Amino acid sequence: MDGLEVTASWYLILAAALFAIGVAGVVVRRNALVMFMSIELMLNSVNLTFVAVSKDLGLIEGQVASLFVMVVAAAEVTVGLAIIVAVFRKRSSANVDELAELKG
Amino acid sequence: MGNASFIAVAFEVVLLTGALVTILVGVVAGRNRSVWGPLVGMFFLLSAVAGLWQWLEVQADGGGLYFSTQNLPIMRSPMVVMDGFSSFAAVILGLVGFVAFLGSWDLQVRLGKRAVEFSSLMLLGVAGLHMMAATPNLVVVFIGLETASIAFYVLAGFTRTVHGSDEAALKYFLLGSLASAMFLYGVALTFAATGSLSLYGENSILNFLSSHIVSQPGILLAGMSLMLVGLMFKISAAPFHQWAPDVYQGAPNAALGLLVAGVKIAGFAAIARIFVEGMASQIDTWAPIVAVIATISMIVGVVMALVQDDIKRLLAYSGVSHAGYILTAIVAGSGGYSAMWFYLATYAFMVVGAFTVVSMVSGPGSSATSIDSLKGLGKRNPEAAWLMAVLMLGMAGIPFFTGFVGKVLAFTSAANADYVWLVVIGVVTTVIGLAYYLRVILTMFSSDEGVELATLDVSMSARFAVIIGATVTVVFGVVPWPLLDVVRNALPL
Amino acid sequence: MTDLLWLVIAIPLAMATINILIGRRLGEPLSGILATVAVGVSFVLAAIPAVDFIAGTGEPVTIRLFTWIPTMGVEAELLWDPLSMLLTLIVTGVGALIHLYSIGYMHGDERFPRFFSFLNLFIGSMLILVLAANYAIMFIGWELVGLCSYLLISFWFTKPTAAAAGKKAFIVNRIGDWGFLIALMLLFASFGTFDFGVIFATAPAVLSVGMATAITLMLFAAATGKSAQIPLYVWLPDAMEGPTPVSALIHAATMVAAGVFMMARSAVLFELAPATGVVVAIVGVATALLAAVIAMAQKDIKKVLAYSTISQLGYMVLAIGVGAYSAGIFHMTTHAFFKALLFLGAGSVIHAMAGEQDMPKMGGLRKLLPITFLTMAAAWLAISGIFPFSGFWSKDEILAATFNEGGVFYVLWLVGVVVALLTAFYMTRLMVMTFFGSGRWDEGVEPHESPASMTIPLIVLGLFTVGIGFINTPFRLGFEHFLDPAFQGVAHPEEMSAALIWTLAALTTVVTLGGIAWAWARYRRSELPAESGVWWRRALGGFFVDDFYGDVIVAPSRAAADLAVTTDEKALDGVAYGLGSGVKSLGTTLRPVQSGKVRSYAGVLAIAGIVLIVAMVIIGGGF
Repeated sequence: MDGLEVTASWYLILAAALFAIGVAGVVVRRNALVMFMSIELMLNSVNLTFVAVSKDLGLIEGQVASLFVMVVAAAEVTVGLAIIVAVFRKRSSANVDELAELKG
Repeated sequence: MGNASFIAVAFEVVLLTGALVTILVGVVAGRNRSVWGPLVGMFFLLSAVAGLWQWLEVQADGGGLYFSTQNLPIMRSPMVVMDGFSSFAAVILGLVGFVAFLGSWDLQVRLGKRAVEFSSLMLLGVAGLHMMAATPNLVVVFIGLETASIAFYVLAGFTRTVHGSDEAALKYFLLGSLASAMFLYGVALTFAATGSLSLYGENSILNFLSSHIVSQPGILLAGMSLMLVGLMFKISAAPFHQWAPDVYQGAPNAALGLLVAGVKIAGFAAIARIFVEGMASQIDTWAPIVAVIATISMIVGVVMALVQDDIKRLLAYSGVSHAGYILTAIVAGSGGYSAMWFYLATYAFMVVGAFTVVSMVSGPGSSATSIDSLKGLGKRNPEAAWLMAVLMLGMAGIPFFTGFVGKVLAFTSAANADYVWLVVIGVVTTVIGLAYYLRVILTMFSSDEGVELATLDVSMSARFAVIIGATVTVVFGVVPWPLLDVVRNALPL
Repeated sequence: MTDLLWLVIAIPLAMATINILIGRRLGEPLSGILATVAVGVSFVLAAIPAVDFIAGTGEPVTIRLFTWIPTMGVEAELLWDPLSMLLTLIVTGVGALIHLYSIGYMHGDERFPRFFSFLNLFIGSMLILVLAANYAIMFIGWELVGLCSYLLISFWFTKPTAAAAGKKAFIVNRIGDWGFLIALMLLFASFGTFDFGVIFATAPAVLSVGMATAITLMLFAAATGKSAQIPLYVWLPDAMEGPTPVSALIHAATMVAAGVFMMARSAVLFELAPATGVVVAIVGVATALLAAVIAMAQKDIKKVLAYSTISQLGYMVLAIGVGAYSAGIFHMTTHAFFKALLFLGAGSVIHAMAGEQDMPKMGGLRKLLPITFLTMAAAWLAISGIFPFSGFWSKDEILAATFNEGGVFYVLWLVGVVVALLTAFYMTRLMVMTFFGSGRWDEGVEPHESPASMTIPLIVLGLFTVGIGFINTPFRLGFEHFLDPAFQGVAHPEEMSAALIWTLAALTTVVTLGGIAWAWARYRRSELPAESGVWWRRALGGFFVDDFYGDVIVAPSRAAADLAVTTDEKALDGVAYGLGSGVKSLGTTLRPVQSGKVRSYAGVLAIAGIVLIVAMVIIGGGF
């Protein structure tokens, strides 16, 4: 196992993979809630990038940034869930494909 | 001047105070509009005054200054910058916020107790927008972006019982968060490549790029690309524009003025600061891409606007084409600043005025508004029809209206930067675009025979919003030089 | 104090805006009072720096506000010299009185605040015109006063005649404006600037006689539109469809004098073009004669005054033509007061007669409307040119200057004297038919004196009408020298001997008295003369110039326009439509992309993002 050292780039690749999964999730999934979770996944992959780079370069800024991102994400959750709930209440469905009246 | 000073954040402080005070007053006197309504308007105007204060301070200082927190170990980079850029944005955002607030008053009247929340969200949103223009730190740009966006997600869905409003809010929210996440990932990748989050200061990205050879330019380029995607989404440039028509159509009319105008101002300010300033050494990489985006925006915006039946979708697509026109100024680098600011400042008032007229016609809370519903407006309310005609001519870019001056400036700066082909496309699309603006005007002054036309009564506040919009359009269209003198000094640090 | 001069313009404009926006809230009479105060404040602000000039110590100054069109070197500048000062005081002074009068006159009108906002807008625009320091700014004011005039003539737009009159004024003035525009182009081509200072200083060196003639003829063409001279005078009589205060302010005292003012301003240019001078003088005197003849036969009290205005404007234009600029401006000044007074008096009479404008249905109002009668009598004597009322001084000055030119101008002078006779005749006719004799009122009409807000302006104007003439008597009390700076370098007519001046004045006075006596004898009888002869009918119909224009000019041009429209539709629209439909079908094809589905939008966003990264990496030089 020696010679195989876990470097910062491993974390960056993992983060990139998570980000890609998140984007794919937004595109593929139909449920608004799951789409939203995918977006949260993307934000967390960003946090991972920030923290990894921060550790690697010995800078504290990335770690602080990740804290800010968490706060913003939390705020986004509040509003996002409220909007999804409002849609669900009105239409008894969170399937975004059914929400396509505004088009053209 | 490295010390923090209140003045640099005066704009945000005023607006955030305003939002909190409004909410608190609303708890006590939520139904009593006459109590908190003037308060909100006052805070918007105060914020513009704060911006003016910053502007005067900056002009007296010559250049501007940023506030670093160097003595704090946590962040090495400055967080706030006060320069011609940020203070001009502050003045314009404060005034646009005020006019948009006037235009939204009818909706607030209908919302009853909930209107307090609507107003304070407007205040919060404008504060977030200005943060984007007044920070040299990429993470703070993101925070400002999200502050504004979250507020606007709610505004878009505020009349959730009205058909379409909920759909608009959900679409805006999902796509907006996606774009924000992409922007943030771009920030993270840029951080990974350069070790910096800052556009100014000793540890700035620019300094890093000029003193180091980037070992893995791909990470930096991907980071730049993703930041560009996020910001292009916000300013609704094609092909990142698809949310805009749907959201505009579904959102309450009265919320749109701020939503459209404000986001464009802040988005362009951020693009200019991050790319033209921070990524100045990479201009040969990003400028051609921005030029292509501008081209697509102009063409898609004009072509799609021609076939719309809904006035709000039409304005959305016209907004896409306007994003393209302003991007032609960005392509020119720092030579396009004054064109960009002139265009933004005048377009913002036109947009707010136009959406206010739409809400006069179909009601401030309603969603879809077909172009045909404007029919007979010339008889029902000649004043509104004439003012709308002025705004449409302004957007179309007819001489003696601001749109013309803005376009000439933008095209000139692009031509100076050797993007002549972009100018040609711009001129051609402008001419084609005339068709749908004229269509709106002709519709307003036509009417079906034999149809009884009821007079359309409009509220004083909405009238004011439209009159201000049209006045700005005409005055600075005929006499643009005073404003040009000002925007010439609206420079970043 | 001249630093604040921009306020003189800005205050009425600001008040106009306020009245348009919230006039309805202010209501009646507050909106009118505020508008009056605004003009009054403007007057005071102009009067304070004017003191210097009146005291003889003032220097002309140019006040730069901002650069308007840098590429053409056009500055938004105001010129403050005795000429513009005088006009500013007239416009704001008479304007304020007429505003005050309007509060009473427009009482009860539905669009009361709107009326005052238009009046204020007019004052602001007129001040832009008179204070302009270059032709470009002057043209802005020129167009704006035209717009206001149009808006106010058709103020009662539900009345078809009023709407039509507004349209007519608009179209006729557009014809004149072409002259102004062409003159502007020629001026810019010759001088490369519109600035008065530069143009007037360098004109003798730069302009050839031919060019000067072309420019001045074009300027004169513009003046025939605005100042209602042959052949473009036809709009002014119809303009009386507007409210009476508008007729007094715009179509008698101020705006119609704009053409005369503009020509006086361009005195240097006119001096360079003697041929233009002859044309101007002949047109002026011909207009004066024609309008006076038509005025003799009119039955509508306001029509008499309208034609009288055209006739008096003819005098002023004659003065310009013979190079007696200060005499022209002097007559303009006195005319502003007495004609405004006559119109306001007529308005008071119409008000008293419950809207009746037909003079044969008036009569005997002297006792019932004592203030109106007395003030109008002063104006009557003034316009007729009876010593010592103001018209005597100013009209004689013009006639003397004409006489002094000699040669062909003796004929013009003679016509001018005849016009003075006719003026005395038709004014006496008006006074007698209105105020003397027995009442020939319709049943149910009970004349009464007007309210104080209407009589006070009458009295003030009456005092000025009596006194204003003394500022420029042949005793040279200084008016001419006072205007000197404005007409610097312009040749003065040779001084005449006092004996000749008095002889000419005495001659005119005798002729005038003859006119008064003639009309008095003719109309002071118990029965009014029938006036049904063929010449009376022709004069009453304005010699059918309108019909002539209608048949000869309007109808063919309408046919030509129709033809052009048809051609245009077929040819040009075909091309435009082809292009448009091509773009449109592209749009229709692209529409399904905007499917309304969030996921597809997110997909586009993701793909576009990937494409962007790839493009960026390629341009940026790879990983």
